[in-house]
Amino acid sequence: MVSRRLSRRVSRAIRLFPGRAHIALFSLSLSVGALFVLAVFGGLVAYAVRSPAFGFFGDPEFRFAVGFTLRATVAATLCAGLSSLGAAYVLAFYDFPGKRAVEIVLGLPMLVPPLVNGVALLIFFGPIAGPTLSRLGFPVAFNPAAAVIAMWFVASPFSIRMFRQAFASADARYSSLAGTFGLSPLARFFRVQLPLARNGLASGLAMTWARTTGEFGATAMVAGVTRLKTETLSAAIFLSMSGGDLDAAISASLVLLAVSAVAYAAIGLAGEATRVA
Amino acid sequence: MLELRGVACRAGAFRIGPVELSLAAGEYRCVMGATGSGKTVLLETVAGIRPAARGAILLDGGDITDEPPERRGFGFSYQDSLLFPFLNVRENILFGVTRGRRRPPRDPAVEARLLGLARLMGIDSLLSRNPRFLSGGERQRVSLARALLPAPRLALLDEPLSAVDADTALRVRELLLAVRRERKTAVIHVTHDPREAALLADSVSKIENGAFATGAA
Repeated sequence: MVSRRLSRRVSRAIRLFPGRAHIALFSLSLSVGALFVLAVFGGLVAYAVRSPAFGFFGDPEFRFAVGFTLRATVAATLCAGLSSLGAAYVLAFYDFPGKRAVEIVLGLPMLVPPLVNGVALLIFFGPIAGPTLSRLGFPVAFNPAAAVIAMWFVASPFSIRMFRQAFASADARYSSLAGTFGLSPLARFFRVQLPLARNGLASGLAMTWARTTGEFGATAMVAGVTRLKTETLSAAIFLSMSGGDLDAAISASLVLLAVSAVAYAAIGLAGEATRVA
Repeated sequence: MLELRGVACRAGAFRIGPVELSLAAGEYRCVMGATGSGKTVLLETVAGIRPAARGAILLDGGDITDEPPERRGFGFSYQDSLLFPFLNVRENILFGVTRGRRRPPRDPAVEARLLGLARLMGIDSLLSRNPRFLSGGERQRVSLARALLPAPRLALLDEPLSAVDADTALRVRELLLAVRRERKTAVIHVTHDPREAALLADSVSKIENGAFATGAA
């Protein structure tokens, strides 16, 4: 009796969307997906509220990890942004022999596993360039600078890709038109192409920053995970979990979760602004 | 003033030419042709936006075939207006004078010219607006004002009235004729409207199947 009533209801619901039953199914998968993600992260927050995790926010080691992560990720994002701007511009507008090969090389740090990046960086800043850099008074390996370099290395393929897309998505005729008003190619870059791409560039920077914040593998290999020296929040999670300190790991996770949510919202807002413009 | 000798233009599969064209100072030339006949490609080639595949472009007898657009100084207005979305209407119109800088021009005469032009075009109430909130016809008038404000010797206009309503088109046509009369600005005006060509042009050229021919208006 009940099952007959249920099947009648389902068939009535399907009749309400003639020819659109697949939309109902897709909407279901959308809702289930969103609810699952919400349940997982909501569960973390709910668990943290009932645990002593929030007590760790005052811990000096935790505060060092937050500060160091902030400094290192901002520095790495700025480096990646500056170094990617020119590369992305050339890739967006010019064809040259070997372009495909250059694209593959620049994209490699994004494609290989983070630990491989870490081993390669460690070898480069260790046996290969390490002695020279130490003689010059700039030892990199196992120092805070190594964390910045590792994040920059891993995140720059993202910034190059996003910046390139931002430049290429603007109508190229704007720049030519500005030429008819007497602007040199350099003036066109600063006064037309950069403003046209600004929302895409901003969302690229936010994406790059999110990537540097979550970086762990390569950073841990080349900078080490030394308490109060090269300990990022991701490293703090790893250290806490290894030592069985779940509450400390939860508090670091909460900060990273909040940072990611803010960065993602910023990307969404920038994307919205791009569509309106 | 401007001479095109055997100029061939190319854009993808498009081929136009050879184009023989001679334009005197203050002359108004309409170029007609069906949609997709390559009229815009010809204008872009004259402006230096596209390279000429063959032939020579001369300005006052000097060869400018290989000169970039910034050294030619011709006014240009695209059919789809192409207003800079990061500048408001006033800043867009002033673009040729400010060269894209945000600070307003120091010369009060420029401001007077801007206001006069905007009033004649019926866009004086839109100056502080963002271009994305304008209608197609309003955008075209802003684009036209932007091309004409720096008083170029040659204005290249790509279907500048195609989205403008009949009453406004009448006013803008008068303005175009006045600009030509007073400033001796030569104009190449691309259109597919024979009536518009008859009202404005001293001479009319046609593009058909890639061939360019000129006859009297």
